[in-house]
Amino acid sequence: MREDNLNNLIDSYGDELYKFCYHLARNRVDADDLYQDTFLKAIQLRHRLVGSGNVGEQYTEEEANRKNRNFMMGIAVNLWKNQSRRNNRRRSMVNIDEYTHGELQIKSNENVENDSLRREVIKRLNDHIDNLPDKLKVVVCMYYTAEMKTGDIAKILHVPSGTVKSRLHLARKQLKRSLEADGYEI
Amino acid sequence: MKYDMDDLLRESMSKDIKPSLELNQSVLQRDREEYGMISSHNGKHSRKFKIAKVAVAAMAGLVITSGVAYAATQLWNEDVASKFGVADDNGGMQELKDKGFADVPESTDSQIASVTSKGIEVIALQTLADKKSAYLYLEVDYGDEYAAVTHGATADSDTWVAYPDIDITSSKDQNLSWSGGAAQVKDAHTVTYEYYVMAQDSDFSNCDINIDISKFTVDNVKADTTPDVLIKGDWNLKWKISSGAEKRIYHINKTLKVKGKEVTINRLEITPLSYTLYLDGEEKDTKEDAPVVSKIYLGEDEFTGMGGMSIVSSIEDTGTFSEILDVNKLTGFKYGDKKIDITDCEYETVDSLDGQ
Repeated sequence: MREDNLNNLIDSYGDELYKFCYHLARNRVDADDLYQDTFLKAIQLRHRLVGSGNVGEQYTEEEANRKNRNFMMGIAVNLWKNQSRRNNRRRSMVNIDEYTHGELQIKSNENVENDSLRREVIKRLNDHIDNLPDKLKVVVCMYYTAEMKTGDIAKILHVPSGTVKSRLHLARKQLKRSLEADGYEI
Repeated sequence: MKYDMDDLLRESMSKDIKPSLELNQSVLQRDREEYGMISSHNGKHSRKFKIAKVAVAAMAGLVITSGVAYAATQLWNEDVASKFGVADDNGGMQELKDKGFADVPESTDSQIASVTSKGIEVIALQTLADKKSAYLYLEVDYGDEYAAVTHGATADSDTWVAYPDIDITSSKDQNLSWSGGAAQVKDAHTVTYEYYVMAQDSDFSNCDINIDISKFTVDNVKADTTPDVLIKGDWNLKWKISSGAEKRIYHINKTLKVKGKEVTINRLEITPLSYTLYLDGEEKDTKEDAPVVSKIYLGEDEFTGMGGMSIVSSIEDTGTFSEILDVNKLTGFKYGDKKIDITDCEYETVDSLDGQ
């Protein structure tokens, strides 16, 4: 029964969660750990999943999926924040080239030259995202990778919705300033 | 070439990467191992359980209710752990000890209070307390009869959350200030609430804290100024708070110009959950743009837990934190437009303010 639940969770949210973990952790090793820990935590807290019999009967399938997805992302964020605090030194030693060069696939653009330039900008952007304070980085990742609504992010982070918006704004502003300092026009 | 920041961000995070089959298998394998271990090794299970209860004792204090039901046991609440940036496991407990909450009661009989009346259940989930301030985390289950939100729990913007009309007092007859509100909508009938409580003239050591709720209300959706009363009644909770972490008093005694005005900063009282900055002068009306402590420095890092409750007057500035501050790392703060280094300031440690 428990294993069936876990299998269902993996089938339903595995791909999306892994993408999120990967962009949050920014390397495969940490992403794998975070992904595993998130599922193990989720299965411990499965009574909170919508449709588990405890809550959720009043939700449509779409709402239930969204709630469960946000629940999973929330666990991942909390685990990552805790892990991140403990592993700050270790994380700083992870070679982010793996993320920026080795695995990131840039969409092709109008021509090779522009594509190459854009690739360079994205690489620099990823460097700068990695240097953002955790509070800003988490919000950016939730918004752009998981495409979560600011209201949902606010609930997960226990902050007002306006705080999420201001963090997003601040993150974009800091990233813009950093890219402009690199000589790019944003 | 000009780039759009929003497009760049979407593109930088667009890689669609999937977990390997082996990774998913390893999730299942780890679950079998860890779940199986807890099920079959009672010793390990018991030990883990006991540590979790001690964690509650450290931060929640002993919770006693009068004439109300008890919850059997309560683990370190993960919402609170998440909010204050500590793991909701044994590692988190260790982190709390490291941060100054070292006064861990030996009792493992901590129980969290709950009271049910007229179909509405109020549960005290967790309390964090130090020598000056407390953070209370409550859950209200409105039952089937009352909706906690007026427009559905999943609405993003037009969700109107019911809230308790609350009075917080203590057995020490302290002068308490508090603020708070809804923290999280759990589902259509359940909401958690958080309250920051400050005691100005004595600490929370061995004191009972009382919560009295006379009604539940919900803001009028049509934006009337008077909230609608959901139900009136009497919900009372009482429990003993244990405040473990110390309070520090830094004697600053510096006169400087802040935002063009001369002020003398007398002292900073700081705990892991709050601060109060005392200024010399007379109390008078304070304008909205009065300077406040906007940043706290921990060496080269900035403390990221500013936020929570704030009380500003012409002679003091008080605020609570949304994370637990490690006072041992404190090096300075920013007041108005001035950065103030306190590494050379003398400080005293206060274990108890009783009798002062």
